Amino acid sequence: MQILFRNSTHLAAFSLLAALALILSTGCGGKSQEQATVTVFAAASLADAFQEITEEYAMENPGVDVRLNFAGSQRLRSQLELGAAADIFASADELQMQLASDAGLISEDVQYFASTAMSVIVSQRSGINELGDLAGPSARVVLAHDSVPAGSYSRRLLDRISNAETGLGEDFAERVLANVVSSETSVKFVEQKVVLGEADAGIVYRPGLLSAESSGSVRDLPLPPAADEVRAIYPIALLKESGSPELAARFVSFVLSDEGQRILTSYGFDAP
Amino acid sequence: MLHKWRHSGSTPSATEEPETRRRSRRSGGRGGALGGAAGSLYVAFIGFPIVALLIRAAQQDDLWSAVTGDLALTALQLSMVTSVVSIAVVVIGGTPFAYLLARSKNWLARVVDGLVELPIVLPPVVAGVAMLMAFGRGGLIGGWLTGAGINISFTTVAVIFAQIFVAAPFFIRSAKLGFQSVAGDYEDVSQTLGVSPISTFWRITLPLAAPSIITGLGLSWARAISEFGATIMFAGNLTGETQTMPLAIMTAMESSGGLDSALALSALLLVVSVLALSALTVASRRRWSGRL
Repeated sequence: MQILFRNSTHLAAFSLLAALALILSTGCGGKSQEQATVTVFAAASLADAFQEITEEYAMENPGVDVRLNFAGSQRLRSQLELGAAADIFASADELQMQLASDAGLISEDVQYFASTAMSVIVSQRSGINELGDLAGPSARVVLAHDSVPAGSYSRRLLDRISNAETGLGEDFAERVLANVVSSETSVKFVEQKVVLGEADAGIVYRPGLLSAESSGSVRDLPLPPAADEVRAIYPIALLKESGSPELAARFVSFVLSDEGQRILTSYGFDAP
Repeated sequence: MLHKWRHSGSTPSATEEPETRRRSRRSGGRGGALGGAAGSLYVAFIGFPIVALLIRAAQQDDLWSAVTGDLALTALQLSMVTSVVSIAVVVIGGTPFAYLLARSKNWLARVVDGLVELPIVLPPVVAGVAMLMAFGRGGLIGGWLTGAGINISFTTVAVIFAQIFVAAPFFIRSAKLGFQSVAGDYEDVSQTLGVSPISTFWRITLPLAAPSIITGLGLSWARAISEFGATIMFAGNLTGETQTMPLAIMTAMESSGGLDSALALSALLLVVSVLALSALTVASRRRWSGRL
């Protein structure tokens, strides 16, 4: 604090102001105390779609305060295991949901609400024009870490392409993995690094491609038909420790409803 | 310039410091009891989570194999090498800079002084983004560097850049205070007796400022080895290349069943850091007590 406040009078004045601000803000926020809240832990790739879903849900359910926490599904699962309080978990793969279930966190049946194919995005400024260039000597590739759902799908995608008769060679996956310069903790970071041009290429979900393309600095690479066999599938479930299971169940129903599905489709997701 | 520095050694803050220390020591009694109670609470508050971490780490069966495993040793080696290189750069560049700041009194020095401390209040993630904007491939000078065939982001160099950025202020600040506490009179006398300014610096100023410099060194190194946010943003996360201990711990933490591994790595980092800082303290005491 000494760095910011050269003398104690300044510090005291600032503290007083901060305290006042805090009191005022909690005073005004008194109403929201009575509001019911639903806390949703959702995979990072769902961020845009779930924000819209939440807005729609809030309109249909006035007075319900939905709190969203987006991160790599593995991080959310780890936070839940360590006691984070939430009502809903929406994961980007079955593994993280299974692990959460094994840890006794899930209260009911798991439902699938979306799926998507994978996309290879490349920076406009990179010299990569076709899939084979990913294995080239100077390509800088960024993937999600293999503990992240997107990272595990990415490796499966590369393996699938290697095993198909694509002419890229059986060691294609191996050569691409040798070009990986960073294993990111969320698929959103993969997207960002390619949008910024720091990485030449990355593997993201189809909706991630759409949001990355809107930046104008990214395009996607055509993939062989075998790539379609690798699909991400999104499960959602209520959590045992939920403080408002009814509202949470209503949120899950909304995600699965026609309206929820329409929103997910508009962001590039497919039906499960 | 030299003249200016010499006289500013006796700044009010430098001479007042021992005075205030004495006063606070005299006020024992009630203040002492209160201080003792608050201190015990604080020690418990800090100590309890650390003890909890060590206990949980020790409870696992394969602790030894986890701390001697490839993941741990690769990350530890990278952390040690990068933090030592970072601190070497910080000390070599930061010592003369801190001296200059300590002896300059003009407005420019004050502005620079404020800027130097900026990274302390900057969230590390912001520091990482800022470094991407500067040295990344699309960055202000990064594009030019790339043209020259130099890539910094996603390399071990980026790890070192990030560490220097966040850790240097701790060293410079502490060293500056150290130099300010050395009265300019000593330097004056030394030089009056015919000792050259450089020799005076080495034989008078540096030894007298040594305790602060060593403290700064320790703080700065600790900040460098614990660096996370700027590193993961600017350097990425790749085993053996940019995955330092804090990044390895985070990654392990998020892997399925990785809590044990994360605990083992945390305990290892904790023990190594405490050992290194203790060694620094002991070594510096021996070295400088002989000299003074």
